[in-house]
Amino acid sequence: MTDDRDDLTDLLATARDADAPSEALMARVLADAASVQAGLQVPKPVPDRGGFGGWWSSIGGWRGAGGLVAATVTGLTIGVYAPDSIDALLSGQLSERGLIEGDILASGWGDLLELEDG
Amino acid sequence: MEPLDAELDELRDDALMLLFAGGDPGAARILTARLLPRVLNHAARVLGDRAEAEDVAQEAMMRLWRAAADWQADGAKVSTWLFRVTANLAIDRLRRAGRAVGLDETDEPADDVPGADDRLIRADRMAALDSALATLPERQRQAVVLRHIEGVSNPDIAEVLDISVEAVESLTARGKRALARALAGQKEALGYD
Repeated sequence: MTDDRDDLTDLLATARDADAPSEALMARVLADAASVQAGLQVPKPVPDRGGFGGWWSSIGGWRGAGGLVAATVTGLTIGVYAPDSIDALLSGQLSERGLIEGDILASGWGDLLELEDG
Repeated sequence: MEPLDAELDELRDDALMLLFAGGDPGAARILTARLLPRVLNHAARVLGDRAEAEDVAQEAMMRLWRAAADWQADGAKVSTWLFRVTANLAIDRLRRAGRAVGLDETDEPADDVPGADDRLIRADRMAALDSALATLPERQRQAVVLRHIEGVSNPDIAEVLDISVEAVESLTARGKRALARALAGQKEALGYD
């Protein structure tokens, strides 16, 4: 049995380098490597997205659109309530610093109503 | 300036992977010279078919190249990763061919060993070994080939086969006993006096 084991060890050791790759296989593997490597060196093209997709991307997708909506609502709010209401909200800091004139501190809504009443 | 292959040969496999991803053609040559013989040998012993083993070895190496761009230098050893890929590819082939246990591949080695030609003796011995290996269950076969032919450590085999080190020890011990039984009585035919 010991002899069988020794022979087996010998056989397994012989098998360690039994199948040296052929030159043809080496060449195929290196050709594969070269083709993959060439692909790694080429910068990936930016996909050309026209139409809505391009526009959507240009504003930053959902995140960008969210920012735009927030900015629009803020601007609209200031436009409707400004400038007197905003000054009131800021405890008169705008008028104290001379950033707005006292005679334009009438309510935006009030001005509109007066104009309509004519 | 492109480094010489001799300088590259001193680098570890994971460093060569990074160089390969960076476009160094020498890295591919060194990695191929280092790893392809082991991968091919493993596939040949597990599959018992040279042509299929070459296909598997080429595919395994192709997956290695493709993995280079995202290779993590502190991750798995390159050789362990590659053996794992090779083992899975070989098992897929065996299963597709219905040879997972390999009982239908137990061709007896030639009775008449040509004593004058060492290459033929060696070929006969490999054929006998492949036939004996083919009688082992697939996991046992993989473990025996990795441990006793490729010289891979038990912890690395555990990683390749996704099993515990204790399971590896059990597989390799049982596999070697089974191999010895399968090859018993063929000493003369195999040229062992």
